Amino acid sequence: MADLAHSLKIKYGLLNSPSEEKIKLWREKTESYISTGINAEEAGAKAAQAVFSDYESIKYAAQADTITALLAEAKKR
Amino acid sequence: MLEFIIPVITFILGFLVSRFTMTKKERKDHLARLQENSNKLTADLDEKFQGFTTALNKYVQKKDKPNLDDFFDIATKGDSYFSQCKIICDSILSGNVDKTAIKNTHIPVIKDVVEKTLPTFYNTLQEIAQKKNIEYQGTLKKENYKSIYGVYDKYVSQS
Repeated sequence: MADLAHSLKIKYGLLNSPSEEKIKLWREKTESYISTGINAEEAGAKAAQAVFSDYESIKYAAQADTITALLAEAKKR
Repeated sequence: MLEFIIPVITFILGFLVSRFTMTKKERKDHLARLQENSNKLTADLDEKFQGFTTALNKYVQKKDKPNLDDFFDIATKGDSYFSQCKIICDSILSGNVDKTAIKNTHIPVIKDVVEKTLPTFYNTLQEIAQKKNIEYQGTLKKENYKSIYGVYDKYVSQS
């Protein structure tokens, strides 16, 4: 469960790791979206938006910007 | 004789059909597995990213001059980060990642890795090594990152 909480945190840019209750709720919502014919990825995102109040609070995707900025700083040392 | 053969053929056909097609539930389970795999790959990459940036931060913010260990810590943690990118790309190329997740989650990262992070990483380490007289032979060789460039060619350069 801890692994899944971490994955969800990263995947949906949450500030905190979600509780087991929230994860359960997210899973149920995702499954119900999937059963209406929405694909898994989109269903998961829609459910996350509905369940997690801190949805997309942090952008974990811009790794390249952080790395290149730090490399530029390292060059100066 | 025919009475014997027909049930056998029906049985074999039935077996083959069920073996090579998926029921609705099996298909749903399969998609869920691909999705879970994608989530795990993303979480693992994040862990390597944390390690990489911690090493870089340590180097950048060190009070005294950074030493050889600090330099090679960046080199090693950077390698681990790019290795995880390779694992993601291997997984994509072997069809083990959900299609939408490939497009929305993994491709933006891989695009950045090819266009920015990988070349900057090697250039910077070479520059630092030269300046500080460190024996460092690392250069960016495409053949070491086959799957990363494979994914880039397949999903980015054609779009």
